[in-house]
Amino acid sequence: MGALLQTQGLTKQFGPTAALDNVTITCQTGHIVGLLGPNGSGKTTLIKIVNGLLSPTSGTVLIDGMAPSPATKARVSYLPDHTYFDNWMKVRDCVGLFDDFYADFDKAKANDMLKALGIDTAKTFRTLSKGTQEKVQLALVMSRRAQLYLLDEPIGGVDPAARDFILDTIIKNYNEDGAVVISTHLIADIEKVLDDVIFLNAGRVMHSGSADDLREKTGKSVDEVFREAFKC
Amino acid sequence: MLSKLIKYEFKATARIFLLTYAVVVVLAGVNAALLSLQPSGSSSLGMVYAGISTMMSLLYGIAAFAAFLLTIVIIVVRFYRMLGDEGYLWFTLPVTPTQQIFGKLIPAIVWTIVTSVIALASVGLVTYRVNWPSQLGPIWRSLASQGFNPGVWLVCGLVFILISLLVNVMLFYAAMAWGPNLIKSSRLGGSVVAYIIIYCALEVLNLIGFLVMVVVFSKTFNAMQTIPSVLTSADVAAINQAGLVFGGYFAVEYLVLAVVGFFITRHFIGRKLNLS
Repeated sequence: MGALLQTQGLTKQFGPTAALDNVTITCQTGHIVGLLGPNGSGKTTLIKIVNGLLSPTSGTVLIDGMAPSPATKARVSYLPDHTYFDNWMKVRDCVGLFDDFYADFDKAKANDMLKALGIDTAKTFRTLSKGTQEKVQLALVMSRRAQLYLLDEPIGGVDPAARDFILDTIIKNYNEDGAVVISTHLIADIEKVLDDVIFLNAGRVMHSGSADDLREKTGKSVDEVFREAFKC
Repeated sequence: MLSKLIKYEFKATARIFLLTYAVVVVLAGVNAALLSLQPSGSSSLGMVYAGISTMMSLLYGIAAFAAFLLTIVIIVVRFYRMLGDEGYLWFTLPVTPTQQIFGKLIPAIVWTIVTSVIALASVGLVTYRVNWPSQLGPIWRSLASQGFNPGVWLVCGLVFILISLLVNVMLFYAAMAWGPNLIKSSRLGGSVVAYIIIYCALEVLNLIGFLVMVVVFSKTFNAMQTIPSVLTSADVAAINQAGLVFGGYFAVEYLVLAVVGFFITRHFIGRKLNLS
């Protein structure tokens, strides 16, 4: 298994503030990685740089050996932490857009997932509740057979029942030849699915490695280690 | 991929444009009907009718003006929104920055042309009683008899308008792409400041070009003041030449600026993108 995502000395300055400070991480193919940290730790900034939505101040990002570009965007399936579809779009237009632009998109799978969720594809996206909008976006993102899934706070704004659904959707639908990076601060909910964990705090990597090794070494769950490390 | 971007841009903007065009055409039709049914005499009914006609004419004028204003606003807003929340969708698609720019630019140009055609057609509808060929024919023939070629001037004028449109849209895009890098704390403020800088630079270039042309063609400009009565064939040739050089200079200047605007936009959305 090779490294699918690598960052080297990644730094992002917003004025005098370093949102990321010399971040060096590696994500292996086939792994589900938890990008864990409190609010403002740099998780979203890191994911946005990997997606090419932010330019790093210094350092490098490689996805399957390539810098962020249209070629890497064809390989990366990204769920941002907010909704992004245009006001005019119906749910079926959103499905159509993914089908038009992503060669690895499985339209039938997306429609099946939406049907299972009871979402009417004739409805305008903006008229759906926030939770339903997030489910639509997750269904679309997970209907791609991508190499790398970057999921930014996928369970952040939903109720516990929906969290279970979202995690279940991720586990059942991701491409096992790829990798999944899940950014969150709600660790207890996702701990069971993680192979690796990366702890970020104030833009710096505090810990990076196997979730099992961490549990074995500390005799605690990842959630407990996180709570101790980031105790206020 | 470019054709797909264009398809979605048209889908996103079609509803508002088609609705606007419908309003303009309906108001033009109402005005045409009011003009054709105008009662004779000066009865009180006639005065009411005249009042309604005036109000409808005013509404038509406002609608036609609003259609152009709306076109500009939509062109700006569509690109501006792509650099905001919607950028999370558009900039994570496997398309190049060049495709992103043309995906917005081509529909913007097409909508502007369609708006102009609809506006002209609506004027034709309102003034359907006017026989435009018979009105414009003498002017056309008079110009032709003096040695001008009105057809060539018309085509050159339309090409020049198209180039002006292209440069204006491209400079809007460049300002919006550059703005967030100019003032990091305010995307809108940065875009406005960037546009002011770009606009001032454009005006300085225009002024320099204009002054050079005035000096070079001072004799021709004097001759043009005598149109149309006593032009010699030498004057006509000089005016034709001045028009060609004058228009050619600004056409080339605008094309160069459009290309510069394109590269500025591509640089910032390709290498310096910083979505908030």
